Amino acid sequence: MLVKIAWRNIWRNKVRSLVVIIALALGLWAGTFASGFYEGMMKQKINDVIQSEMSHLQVHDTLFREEMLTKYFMHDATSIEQEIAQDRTVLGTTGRVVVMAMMGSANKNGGVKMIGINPEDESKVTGLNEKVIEGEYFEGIKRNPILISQKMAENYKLKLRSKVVLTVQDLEGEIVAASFRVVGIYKSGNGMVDEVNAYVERSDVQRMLSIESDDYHEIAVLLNENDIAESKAAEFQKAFPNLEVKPWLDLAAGMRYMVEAGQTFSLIIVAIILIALLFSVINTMLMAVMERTKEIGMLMAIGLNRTKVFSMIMLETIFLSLIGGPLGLLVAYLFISTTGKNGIDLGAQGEAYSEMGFAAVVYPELGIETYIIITVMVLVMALIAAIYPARKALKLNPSEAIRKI
Amino acid sequence: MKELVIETNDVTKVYEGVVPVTAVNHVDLQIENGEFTAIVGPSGSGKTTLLNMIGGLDRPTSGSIKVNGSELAGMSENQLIDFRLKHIGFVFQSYNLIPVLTAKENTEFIMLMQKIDKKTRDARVEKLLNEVGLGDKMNNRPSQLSGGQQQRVAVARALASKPDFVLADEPTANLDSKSTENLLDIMARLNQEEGVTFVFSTHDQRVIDRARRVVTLVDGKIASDERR
Repeated sequence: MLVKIAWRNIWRNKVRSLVVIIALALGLWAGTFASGFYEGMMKQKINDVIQSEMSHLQVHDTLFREEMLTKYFMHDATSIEQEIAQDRTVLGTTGRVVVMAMMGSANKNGGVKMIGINPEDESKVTGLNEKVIEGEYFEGIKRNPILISQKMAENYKLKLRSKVVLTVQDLEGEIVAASFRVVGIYKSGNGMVDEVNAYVERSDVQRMLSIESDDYHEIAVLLNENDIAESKAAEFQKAFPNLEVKPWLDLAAGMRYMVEAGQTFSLIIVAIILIALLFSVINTMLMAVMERTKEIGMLMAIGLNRTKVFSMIMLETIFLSLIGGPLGLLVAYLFISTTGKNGIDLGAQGEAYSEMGFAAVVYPELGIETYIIITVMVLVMALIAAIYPARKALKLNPSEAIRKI
Repeated sequence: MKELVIETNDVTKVYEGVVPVTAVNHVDLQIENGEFTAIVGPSGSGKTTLLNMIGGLDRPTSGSIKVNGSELAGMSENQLIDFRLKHIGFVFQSYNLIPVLTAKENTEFIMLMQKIDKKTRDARVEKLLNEVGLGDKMNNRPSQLSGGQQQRVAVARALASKPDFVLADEPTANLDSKSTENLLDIMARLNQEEGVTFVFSTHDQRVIDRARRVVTLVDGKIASDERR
C-alpha cells in the first residue's frame, strides 16, 4: 500500500513531477553524453596514437628517448627486430633511425624530426603509405627521396620533386648535410605529427650518420590487441634487459594520464550535474511534504508509524529519481549509439582539435561499466535526496500538523 | 456499571509561550463503553486539546489518561502510534482522507497497517462502506466524493480497525445540514446497534441535540456533564 501511495503521490502534481523528471533526464543525458563524447574522442586518440604514431610498443637504447642523441642507437637491431617479430601476437615491426635535423628549402629553414624507415615495414605497421595525399610513397625518385607533410609543404613552400637540404650531426658530432627530393606529401590528421615528422629511406640517413645498416634508434611493434601492450612490453623488456621497451601509454606524453583521468573527469561532470539535480529533487520533495503536512499528520494520527512515513517519502523521492534517471540514460544511450555510428563533425573547431592531435569527427561511445557507474550514482543521489524531506516529515507533530490549513 | 474506556484524572494542558495558556484545566472525565458523548463549548474552551490528549496525539502537562486501563503517559511516540492504530478510530473535521486512494483503499488502509488478511479486509470494507451508504462509491477517490460522503468514508475508516472508541473532532463542521443529519444517523445507528463508543467535540447544536451525554467545557474546565 505504501508503494501504491508513494507512486500515486508523485502524480498528484503532474507538472511539478514532470519538470523534475525532465530536468533529471536532460541533466543525465547531457552528462552521460559528455562522457560518451570524451570516451569516444579518447578511444579515437588512442587508436590514432597506436596506429599512426607509437604502435603498441617501442624498443630503444636506454638513453635514446631522454637524450635524443644519434649515438644512442641499438647495435644489431635487425636480429632484435626479427626475434620480436617471431612472437605470435606481433603483427608487424618497423626499424627506424631517428634524428633531429635542420631542413632548409629556398624559403625557410626549420627543425624537423627526420625518420629513416624501411617503406615496406613502415606501411605495414603505421599505414604511412595510406596517408600520402600527393605524389608517391617512396616511388619515382631513386636518390634521397623524402616524404613531407602537407603542413611542411605549405610552410616551406615545397612541391613534389622540390629539393630540400637536411643537416644533421653525425656520430662524431660533425655537421653533415644531404639534399633530398620531395617524393610525396602526406597528411596524418594529427597536427602535431605533421608539424615535425619527415620520412626518408633508412639507408639514406644511416649513410649520412655513418652508422651500420643494422643500427636503429627505434623498433616500433604492432600487436594484435591493444590491451596486451603493457604485458608484452614487460615481457620483451625481460628478454632485452639492456634496452628500453615501453608500451604506448608510457611513450605518448600525457596519454596515460589522459586515459586514466579521462573517465574520472567524465564522472566528475556527471556528479556535478547530479548534485545540482539533487537540490532540485530535494526542493520538489520538500514542497510536497510541506503541502501535505496535514495529510502526513493524519497518517501518523491514525497509526502510520514513523518508519513507514519515512519510507513513504523516501519511496516517492526514489520513484521520482528513478523515472528521470533511466529516461536520461536511455536517451543518452540512443544518442550515443546514433552519433557513434554517424560521427559528430566538429566543423571549424575540428581543425583546432586536429592541431592538438584529436580527430575532427568524433564517434562517441560509452562502455557498459560507465553506464553502471552512472546508474549507481543516480541511485545514491536519489537516496541522499530522499533523506532530508523524509526527515522533515518525521519531525511533524501529528496534532499540530492536522490543525494546519 | 459498564467498563470505562476512557478515564482522565486531573488532566491539565498548559501551552508554554510568552504568556502560558492553560487549555485544559484539571479535568476528570470518565467515559464508559457504548457512550455517545459530545464535548461542547465555545472556541478555545479546550475541546480539541482534550480530544487530542485522549487520542494520544498530545501529552498532558499533568494528570493521567487511561484508555482501556492503559496509561498513555508512559508510552513512547512509537508505542502511542501503535496504540492509536489498534485502539482508537479518528474522524477529523476536514475529512483528511488520503487523496490518492479510493474510498475502499482509504477504509482498508488501517487494516493493512494491522496486517489483516485480504479476505477479512475485503469483507469488512464492503460491510462498512455499505453501512455508511457508500457501497456504490467504493472505487471513487475523495475528489470524486462530496464532503458528506468523504466524512462517511472517514467514519468507515475509523471503524475499520474495530477500535475501542471513535474520537471525532468537529465531524460536521464542514457539512451541510442534510449531510450532517445523514452522518449523525449513521453514527447513532452504529452506536446503538453495534455498541460503538463515540466521543466527539462540537459546537453544532444539531449534533448536541443527538448526543446522549453532553460534557460542556468552559475555559478548559468541565462546566457541566449532562446524561440524557
